Amino acid sequence: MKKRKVKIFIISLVTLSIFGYLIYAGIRDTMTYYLTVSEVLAKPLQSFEEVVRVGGNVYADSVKWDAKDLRLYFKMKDEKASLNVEYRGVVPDSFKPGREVILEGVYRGEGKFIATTIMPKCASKYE
Amino acid sequence: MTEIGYYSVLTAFFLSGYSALIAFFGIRGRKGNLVASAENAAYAVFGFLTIASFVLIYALVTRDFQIEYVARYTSNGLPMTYTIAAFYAGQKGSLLLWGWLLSIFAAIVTFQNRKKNRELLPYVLTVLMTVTMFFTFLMVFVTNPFETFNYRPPDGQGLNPLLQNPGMLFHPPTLFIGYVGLTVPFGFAIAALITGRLDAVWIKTTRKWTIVAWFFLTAGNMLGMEWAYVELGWGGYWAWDPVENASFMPWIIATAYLHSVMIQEKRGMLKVWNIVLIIFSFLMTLFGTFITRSGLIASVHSFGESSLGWIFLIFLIASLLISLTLLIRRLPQLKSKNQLDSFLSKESSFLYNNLLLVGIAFTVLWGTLFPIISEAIRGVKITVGPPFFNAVITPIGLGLLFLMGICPLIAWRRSSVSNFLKKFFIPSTAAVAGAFVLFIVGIRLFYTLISYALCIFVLITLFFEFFYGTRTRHSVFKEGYHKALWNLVVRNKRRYGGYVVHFGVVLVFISLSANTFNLEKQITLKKGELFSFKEYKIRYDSLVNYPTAIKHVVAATLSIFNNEHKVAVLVPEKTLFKSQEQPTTEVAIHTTLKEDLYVILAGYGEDWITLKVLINPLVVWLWIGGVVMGLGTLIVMLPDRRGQSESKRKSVVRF
Repeated sequence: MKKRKVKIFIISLVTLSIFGYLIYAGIRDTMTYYLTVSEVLAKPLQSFEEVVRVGGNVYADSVKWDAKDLRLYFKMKDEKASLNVEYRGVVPDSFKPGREVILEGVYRGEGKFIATTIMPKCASKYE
Repeated sequence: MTEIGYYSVLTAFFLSGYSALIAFFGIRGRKGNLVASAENAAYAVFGFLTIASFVLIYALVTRDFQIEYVARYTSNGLPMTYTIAAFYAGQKGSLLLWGWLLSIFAAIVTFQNRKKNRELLPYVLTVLMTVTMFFTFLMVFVTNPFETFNYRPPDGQGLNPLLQNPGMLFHPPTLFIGYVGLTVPFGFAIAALITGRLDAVWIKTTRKWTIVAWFFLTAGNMLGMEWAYVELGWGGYWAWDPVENASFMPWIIATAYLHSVMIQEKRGMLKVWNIVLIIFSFLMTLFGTFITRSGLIASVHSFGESSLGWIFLIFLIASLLISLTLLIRRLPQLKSKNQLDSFLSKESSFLYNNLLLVGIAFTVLWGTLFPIISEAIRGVKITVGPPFFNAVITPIGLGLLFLMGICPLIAWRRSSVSNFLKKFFIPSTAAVAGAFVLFIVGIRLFYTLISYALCIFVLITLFFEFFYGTRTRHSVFKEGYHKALWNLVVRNKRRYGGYVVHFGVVLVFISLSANTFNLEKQITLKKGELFSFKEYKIRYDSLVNYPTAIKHVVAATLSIFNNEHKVAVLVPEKTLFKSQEQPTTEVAIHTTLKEDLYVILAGYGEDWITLKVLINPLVVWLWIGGVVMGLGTLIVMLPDRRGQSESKRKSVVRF
């Protein structure tokens, strides 16, 4: 009887350790920093090896859209600073000048941000 | 008219409070007339919330824009079906729907148990009516669905075009029924804890209600995925968004319960665990509402941020504390009757299955809350997205798939190793052979290979379950094979219904594992130009541009050829609803059993269009798998003809 309890304990412990490791490794390998525009500019360039997320507003008169090549250029800003964003792909329906967006992509220095994903904070009416 | 709605909700609020209290004190003081009065009050709550709901529907249908809610979610041009569906398009209406469904369930439970479970029912009623009171409280004091303007706008703002899809008619109500359905098992769990009647009766009732809720949660999630796939136009159906996670967590915990409850029924074990699962599946429904309404977690479905989320949190914490206190008080009575006899037993495979399911639930919870946790502890906001969930949940999911195949091979209590190996041999050999073939064909991704090998493994064990069962009936009862199979399933609904659900799950796994082979391309085409993508050729024929009553449509007509045969004409669109500022993309999909050709109109000019084209293999099997899971659940839910089958079984035994 006792031996069995020890066995149960060990098996559960092993399983839980595997879960723990999977979660730990999953976060380690896939986490992305969520920064504001000013925070991106304030960080030294060397620290940007990976993909980051940036939140900010689309600057109203800055949007250029090349529908043929699906290239989008715009400025994103917060209270203090702005980034020049380049994006290639299908633009989400709810992307609009003045709206708040979250970008995922890589910072290339000198205010240039290459976005791979645009996630507009859509003012979806479904509440 | 609005007064009728508002005062109905207000009356329901007072009546539900009355019913909750008087049911509790009625049973405490053994006063049957008080309990009867509480039951009547519960029926009345149902009546008043029905009136309130019909008032709102009537206001929507007659387009009474003086009501703020009607003006916000409908407009003159909105088709009638969507006008009615606008009932739950916004927060206020969905609260009313939630409350109404809850009152319906409370009435059903009261009626079902008018002659049985008399000791438990008053407490169940107390729980259900307290939750109902909570929802009516929100409608009376926080967000009144019947709020009016002091003028009447000529037109409403209209329904978000993304919601104008058949998915809107089915997905939200189905999911709501599932959510609300989980309140009933919670009520029974609490009642059992209070009374100390932790025997088989409450388990049976709880299981039945959980399976109903599970059916609707499964269907609701599937419908939501299908909707996202055809409407949102990014080519996928699941993004691990907090809102999706919120509906996934109760589902996975309910799944764990539906498995572990069998251990309690058969072996009198896992009693505490089962109660905990029931409590948490209910709490998760509140938690989901909290995270989506509080604005605490950024989600693409940005919900209206409001104080409502925090009220839900308070209610959640209160429910958690009360439940746990009751549970701890009853711990001594919840000792297991039996011990685990052996590791090679059905019990231990169920145990492990629960560990994995709860592990998935915990992972999803952790990933959803991680941004807040990291900000609180380290001061930096770190987000984890789909890659995190896929990385963690894929191996756990494959573990579950493996158990799904192993479990039918193992006997209850103790399985002899030699017997197990004998049964294990054919399925595992086939699985390895299958994986080998796939490897030769060129599939080199580790998880994909493992997944397909396990799918083969499970399919074969499932097949043998049906095959041996049918053959046995055929030889013992001299039934024809069709009749034997039929009787096998209907006489053992839970077991074989469960296997049918498992079969559906395997189909889902087959489809999900094919995601790694998704292809996508972007292309600009001139009129008449052809574009080749795998064995498909896409020809751009024409672009039309026309206004309708409520929207402006730009539609491209494409001819699709598969190996030179014309197989379809696809018309992806971009539409601009007049009442909305933003365009809506309507994708076009050509579905075959092998793959979906998914076409998005990304841009257009005078004589050209830009398309994004995706080839998503085996997607249709996800929907088929969902339907099969639903059918399996229906088999499990088929009403018993207990008296009949029981007596037959006895006569067989005697014979």
